[in-house]
Amino acid sequence: MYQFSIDRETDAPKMVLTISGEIDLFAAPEFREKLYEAVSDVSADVVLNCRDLSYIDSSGLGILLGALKRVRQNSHQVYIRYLKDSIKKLFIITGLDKAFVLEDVQ
Amino acid sequence: MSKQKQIVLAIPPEAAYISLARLTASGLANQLGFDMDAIEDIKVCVSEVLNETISTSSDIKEPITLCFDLTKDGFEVLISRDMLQQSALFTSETGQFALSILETLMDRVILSNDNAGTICLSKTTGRSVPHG
Repeated sequence: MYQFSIDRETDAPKMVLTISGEIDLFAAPEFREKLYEAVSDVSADVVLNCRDLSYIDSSGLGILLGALKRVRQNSHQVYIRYLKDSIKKLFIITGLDKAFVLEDVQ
Repeated sequence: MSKQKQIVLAIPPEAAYISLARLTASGLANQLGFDMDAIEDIKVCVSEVLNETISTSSDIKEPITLCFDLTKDGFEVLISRDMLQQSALFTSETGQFALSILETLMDRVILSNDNAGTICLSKTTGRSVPHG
């Protein structure tokens, strides 16, 4: 099970999306629809808060990459915050750590 | 790797059952004494193979069989599905991600060209482990 919520930071013009739970092939279709809808026509940088994301596989990584392409079409960037080490490892293996901005800010 | 025990799981070729295989793999890995990082690696890799197996041949209704061979120092899992064409696997963008993940996190990955489209993953703890 995964959860997905959208919030906008009050002190910055970034759109913050919070992703939690497990994103696998079963959750992928709904996650794709919600995420792409959230970032379509967005005119701000997007922050993905992954503090409570416990699992993601290549299908989820592919969706994140699709979202990044959409955000970049509007000359903005996607920041990914608070990845667990086990998930950050997947970003490094697949080279996605170079595509996104990974942050561990507190 | 000499086999000591074998656990076989057959699941319908549907995404809803991948989590069951993931739980089984992590439970066995925990029992074998793998550390938490290795257990996470094994969970991810079993899922990645199932993702590919299911998403690249959605027209095939035969179940997917996972055969876990517990050995003295780790385990092997053979994932197979009749009629699966190996050449169709790991060709998409996410498939390439999956293959990179498998080859990095597992000790050995073998794609067989048999009729069952078997994929073999193996990982060792680096030490001999008892089986309860």
